[in-house]
Formats: sequence, C-alpha cells, structure tokens
Amino acid sequence: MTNIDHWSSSIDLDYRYTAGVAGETFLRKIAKGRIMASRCSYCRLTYLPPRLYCEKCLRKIDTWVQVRGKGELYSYTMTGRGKKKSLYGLVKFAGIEGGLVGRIVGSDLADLKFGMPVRVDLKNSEKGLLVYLHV
Amino acid sequence: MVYSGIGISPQDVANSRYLTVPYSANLRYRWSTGAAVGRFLAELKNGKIVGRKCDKCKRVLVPPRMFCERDFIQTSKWVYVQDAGIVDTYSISYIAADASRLEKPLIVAVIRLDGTGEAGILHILGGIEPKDVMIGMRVKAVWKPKRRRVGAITDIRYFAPAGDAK
Ligand SMILES: [Zn+2]
Ligand SMILES: [Zn+2]
Repeated sequence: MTNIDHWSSSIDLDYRYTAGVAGETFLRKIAKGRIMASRCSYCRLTYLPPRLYCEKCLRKIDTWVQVRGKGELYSYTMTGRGKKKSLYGLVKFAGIEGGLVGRIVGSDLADLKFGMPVRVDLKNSEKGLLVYLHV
Repeated sequence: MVYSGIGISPQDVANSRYLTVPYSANLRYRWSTGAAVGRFLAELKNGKIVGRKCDKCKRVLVPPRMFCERDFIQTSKWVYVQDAGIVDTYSISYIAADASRLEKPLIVAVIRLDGTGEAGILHILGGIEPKDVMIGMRVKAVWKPKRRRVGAITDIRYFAPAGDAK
C-alpha cells in the first residue's frame, strides 16, 4: 500500500464587487457626463469620489454637489512598456477632498507642471467610461 | 447609531438593478499529508480506518498523528479501528461549503469511533432527520463503492444510524 502523500484542490471564490450607495450614484452620473461629489453639511467637507459617511464626523451624508469647471493637476505619472507610454494624472478641485484620476492626452511629460489647470473630458466607449485630462 | 445595509438578491443581480463587477479567484493548493495522514487516506481507499496508538496514555488517535500531543512522545503502532461509533457532538448547518444557503441542512458531526480515545473525526450524518439526532447515538460509516474511492475522507459518504447502515 502506498501512502497518499499529498492532496491537491482549489478554493474557488466567486464574488461581485458593488460600488456602494455613494459609488453607485457617482458611477451612474459620471456615465452621463456629470461629476458628483458628496458634502457633509455639518463639517462642510466635500468628498470626491463621494462617500456616504463623513470620515471626519462619521455622520451620514445626504447632500450632493456637481463638480464644475477646471481642476488642477495635483500629481502625474508615466506608465508603459517600450515605446508605448501613457500619462496619468490626479486632478483636484478647489474646496474638494480627494480627486479624480484620468489619462492625460494632448501633452508630453515635459509640458506638465504641478498645479496647472486641467479640463476633464468624459467619454463613453465600448470599454467603459474614459476620463481624459487636457492641460 | 446603527445604519442598516442594503441587501442585494440574486434577482437584483439578474435584473442589473445595481452596478456590479464579477470576479473569480481560484486558489489552487497542494497539501502535504505527512506520514500519518498519508497512510490514513490510503487505508480509507481500502475501506479501513487506521489510527496510531500512544503507549503512555494508551489512546488511539484517529485521524492518526505520529506524535502524542499530550505526552510529547512518538506514537508507537498502527491500530485498525471499527467504522462505527457514537455521535460526540453535532451541528445542523444550513450553509454549504461555498457559503450558499441550503434548503435541506447538512448535519455535521464529530464521530468517536469505537476503540479510540476522546475526540474523533468530523463528518456528516445521513439517513436521519435533524430532529432525530442525539448525542451518544450509535452510527456506522456508509462507504462509497470501492471503485469510486480515491483516498479521501469523502470515501465515507456519511455516517448513518447503526441499525440502518449496510
Ligand atoms: Zn462631517
Ligand atoms: Zn499519549
């Protein structure tokens, strides 16, 4: 009799990620071209992406505000392999906590400066929503 | 303050009521059985249950271990035990191994096999309704046919009340 010296198997975990109440609203609105943030009326803090609870006072948030106008380039990075490179940036908006990440188009790395004005351009595609940043 | 969450039913998912992103993770593993469990599994394939005996405390350990955790000495010999015993403790589970809900519950039990010490093997009970299960009741293994055994604890399909077992 030969010992059975090992046991092979797998643990299969199938799951669905949900964006949450605030995330769901954010995604549905941004697909229609509107960037929505949530605001705590007690702390006067505005969150992007929106949160359902204020992380400062832990109160439930029920105020939504639309983010309009230009943002500023807070940070950027270049990614890629070989010759194909892409630029990505984090945009912040005046008076709003957090920000939005998108792909910087129409500019080279040398053109970018922290704090420069950025226009956000939202495009729906087969791949999903694309966030383009123009500096 | 308590904030209640929002439950999402399979119907909500089917109707795309909420935005979801599906993921699958297959965590593959290979577990090394060791000397004691390696033989235990091979014996199960032959329809036998084997344990290891400690000379000092006289216990027969099933599943077998090569050392006695009570005396910190090596166990000394292989001992075959009966495939029948008593229900030591049990639990009625309405949740399957993949966390899905079950209409008909599983009865998970610890079986203390005849001739072994305290503690025993974890298995399921079959051929009995949950309301009829009692601690201390006699049960016997119901095996898979020999050709379908692979050397796993599931070579025993379940334990059934001793009178009904074949
Ligand atoms: Zn607040
Ligand atoms: Zn011992």
